[in-house]
Amino acid sequence: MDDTTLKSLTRSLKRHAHAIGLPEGAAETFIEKSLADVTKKLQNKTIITEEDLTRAIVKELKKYNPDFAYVYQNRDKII
Amino acid sequence: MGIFTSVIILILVLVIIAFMQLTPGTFALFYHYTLGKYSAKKTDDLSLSFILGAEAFSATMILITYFVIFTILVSQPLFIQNIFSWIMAGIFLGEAFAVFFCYFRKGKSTALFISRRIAHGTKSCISHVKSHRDAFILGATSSVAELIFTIPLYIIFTTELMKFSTNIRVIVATLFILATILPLFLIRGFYRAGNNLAEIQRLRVHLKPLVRIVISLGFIFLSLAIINCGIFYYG
Repeated sequence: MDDTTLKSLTRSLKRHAHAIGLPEGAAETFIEKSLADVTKKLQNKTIITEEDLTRAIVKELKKYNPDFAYVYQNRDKII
Repeated sequence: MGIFTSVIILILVLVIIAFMQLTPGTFALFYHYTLGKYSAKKTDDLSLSFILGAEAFSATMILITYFVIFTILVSQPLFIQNIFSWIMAGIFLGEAFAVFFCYFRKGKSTALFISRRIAHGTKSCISHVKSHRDAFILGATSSVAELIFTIPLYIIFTTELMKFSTNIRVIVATLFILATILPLFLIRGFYRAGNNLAEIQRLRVHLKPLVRIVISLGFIFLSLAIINCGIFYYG
């Protein structure tokens, strides 16, 4: 994953975390850890679809906060 | 047709409008995204502008349908009113089936029938809301895509409204507008009580079958009421 994608993902996840009410420091920590794990898991894939990325991120986020993972997974299915 | 039947029909229309999901869904998403960007106080203020926009849209639609019915339909001969009644009955019946089978997309979510491009566009607009003006416009335009289901409701509502005196009309129209924004105040209340989008969304998914049944049955009853009660006969 390139730096631009990583930065925009981090910014988006931080906003979701802030909206859910997670403490800023804790959220930053597990967002960084989750994205690092996701990057490691997907680095061997030649093509990464948005679904692959979302699925991988949600799987990591579930370890830290299920509400956060739920919101991120369903962000396109509210309306 | 008696006043009692008119009141029942009006209550049914209010219930159906309150159960519609596009504006509450947009509002829930809007509140979540705004909370992620701004403080709780600013989010709360912006949410009131959104609700005001939704109110303004509802009021505008009532006025437009009232004007159309009053100037065009009332002066038509009886056979035209008869044809209009049957068309409206057919529309309500068709929409009952459409709501039951097509209103919600498949899956464990509250994704609606609207195209994904429009849904993504709306989500993009939501994430760029900065001012009260943006929030107001978003609130006002959030239910445009649902007009295909709500225009017949506005028509039947304003038709029934014309059977009451002017003072009663104002009160009933106000109640109608309150019914359209009640779900938004409920969602705002949920957020202010400390709930988040995940909890609200799980509740909406849980209530999805009830919403589908209430709206479909409501449309079926309205279709039968049109045929049996001569709603669109203006004399």
